[in-house]
Amino acid sequence: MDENGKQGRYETVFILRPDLTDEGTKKVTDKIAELIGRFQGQLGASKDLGKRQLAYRISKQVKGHYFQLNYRGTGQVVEELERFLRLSEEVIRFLTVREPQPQSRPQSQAQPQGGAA
Amino acid sequence: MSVTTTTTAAPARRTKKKICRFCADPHSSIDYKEPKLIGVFVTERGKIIPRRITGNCAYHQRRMQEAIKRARILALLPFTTVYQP
Repeated sequence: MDENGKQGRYETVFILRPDLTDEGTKKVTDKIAELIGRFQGQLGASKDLGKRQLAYRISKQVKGHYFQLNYRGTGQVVEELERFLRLSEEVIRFLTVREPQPQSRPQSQAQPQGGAA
Repeated sequence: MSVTTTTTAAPARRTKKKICRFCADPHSSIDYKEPKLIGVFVTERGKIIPRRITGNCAYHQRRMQEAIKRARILALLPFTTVYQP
C-alpha cells in the first residue's frame, strides 16, 4: 500500500530519558521534525505527554518523558524515523501505530440493545 | 470413556446481563495512551480481564486487548507485577 508514494497517517509515541535537559529534548524533537520533512512527510500535532512513571524499568529508568507525534508520510518516513529512534541514546522506548481513525463500527451487529432486563 | 456426569444439575444461576460500557457511550474511545481507563480492564497482576467478567462486547474487547498490549510496550501498564528486578 505504501508503494507508489502513497501516504499514510501514523502516530508515534516515544519516551525520552527523564534526566534530559530542555535543550537536549529540543535537539531530539528538532531532529525528528527535520527527518520527517526530509522524506516529504507532513508533521501534524506533536504533543508533550509529560513525565510519567514507568510501569517497569527501562534502561534503569523508572520515569520517562513521553512525546506523541502525528504525521503523514510514506512508509519510508516511518522506516527512517524508527531507525533514528532506535539509534539515539536519549530515546528509551518508542511505538508507531497507524493513526487511530474515528471509524464507526460495522453496523450489522451493532446496536447494543438497551433492554438488558 | 463414558463419564456420566451424575452431579445434580445446579440451578441455573442467571446474573444480570452486563452491557458493554463502550457501546453504551458512543462518544467513548479506547486509547492506549490512557492508562487510567485501560488499567480498569486489567487485574492487579496485569492480566487482561475476560469479557465475561467485564461485559465488553467482542468488538470492544478486541480494541481493548490491542490497547492494553500497546500500553504495555510503552510501560504505561505492567506486563506483570510479580517479577520486579
